[in-house]
Amino acid sequence: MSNAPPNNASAPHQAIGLLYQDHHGWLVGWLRRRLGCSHNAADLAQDTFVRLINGSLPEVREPRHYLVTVAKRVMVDHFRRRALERAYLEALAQQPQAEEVSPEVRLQIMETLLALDAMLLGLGHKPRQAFLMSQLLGMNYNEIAERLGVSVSSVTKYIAKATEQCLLFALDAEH
Amino acid sequence: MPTDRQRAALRMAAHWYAVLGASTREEDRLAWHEWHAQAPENQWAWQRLENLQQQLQGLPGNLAFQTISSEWGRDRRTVLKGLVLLAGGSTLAWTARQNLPWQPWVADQRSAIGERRSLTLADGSRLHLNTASAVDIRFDAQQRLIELQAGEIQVETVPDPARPFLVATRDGLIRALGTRFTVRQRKAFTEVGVLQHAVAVTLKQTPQPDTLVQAGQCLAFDASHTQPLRPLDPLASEWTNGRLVIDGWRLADTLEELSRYRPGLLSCDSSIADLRLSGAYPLDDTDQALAAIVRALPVHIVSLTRYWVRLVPIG
Repeated sequence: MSNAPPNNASAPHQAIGLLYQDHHGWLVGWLRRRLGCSHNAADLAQDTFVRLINGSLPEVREPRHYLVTVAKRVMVDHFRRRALERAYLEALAQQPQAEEVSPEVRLQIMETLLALDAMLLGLGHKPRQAFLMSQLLGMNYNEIAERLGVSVSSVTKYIAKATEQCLLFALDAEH
Repeated sequence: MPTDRQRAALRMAAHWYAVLGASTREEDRLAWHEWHAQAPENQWAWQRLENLQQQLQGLPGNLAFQTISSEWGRDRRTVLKGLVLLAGGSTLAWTARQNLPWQPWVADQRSAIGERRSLTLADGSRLHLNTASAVDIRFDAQQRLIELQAGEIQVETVPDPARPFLVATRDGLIRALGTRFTVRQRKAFTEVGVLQHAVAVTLKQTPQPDTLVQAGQCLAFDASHTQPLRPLDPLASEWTNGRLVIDGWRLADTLEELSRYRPGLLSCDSSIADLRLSGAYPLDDTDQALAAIVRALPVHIVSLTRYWVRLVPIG
């Protein structure tokens, strides 16, 4: 019934394969030196290569320099994820009723929240809150206006702005 | 690379989304409709907006809001409390399981149309029932048996060397050799999809060797035949997350799948049956899913009652 797109092994994948062979061990060492032992350097190195596979690989002159650039982004995401997971547990502890979710669902929630957080980065406090109240809490514009102490037309502008930023971010993230 | 026209269309989509969120005026709706019909970019942009929406709708609202609006990780004590609670909970469950020997355990479980349920079985295994499903659960000293009478389940087993975990359907017997798989009883056959490790399938009427289905594979079989193994659609078990996620499905197939989750008849005109759809739809609100489909395709809804809904081409 469904059609999964064909999964071609292609030239870029071979290039990444070579990169992996030559520099994977080195990258693990590099990460371990920066992370200390409480974080898994091997996992982050793995994530770095996964990101290369999912992205478009440019012509690389200095592979290690390039790997480090990508690895740094992976590290930032890793710390953001840990912070987010802490916040999630905190929020969970405050729920009146324990919500039970499977590890898969939780992972998915985390992924979506991370993406959402990235999309909203740099947006002012009020537009961000207006968007979240509307999307996550299902509040209408009047309620949001009252909560934020602004007019309904401001709320409309905030939502438009936040939505636009999310859409443009998602588009750029794909390219 | 994204073009300027695409960016402009996304900007307008965001504008319309915000406007329609505040307004119930017919003029606004008509104006939106005109914009939407104006250019393929506009439809593309609106579809992306809906995808974003659907992605966010999958979040548990309150919890997600609190998580993302809090200043992350500020109060470490509360965090620690949460961690201890979680760890404590599982230790307790584990001890309880260790101390209590197995006991014969019989339970029949049903889910209504549109309902999804998750259960923890007597051995600690997890059972998810999809919409309109029925199982009889028979656990004893020799085996852990689930008889699937109708519908679809997903099972996450815990190992028990002494007692195999079995799922029986009209067409045969599925023996778990690992942890996670789905079983769906269709009209003419059974479908099993393996997410982790493997299962062995024995057909009811043919004494042929078991068919091994590995993680990432899917097998359809009836009482006397197996079809060739196919790769498992990784999106097929998204129902456990309350969503139907599809990629390039025919409209007719999409509606057939959605109709499992709502009472009544849901159909479409044959002239639009082959239109293709991609997206994520909430299973708890199939009206909303239909509304999203109508916005994405040149179709509209004709409904006599909530129980008789038909999609027809526009114009």
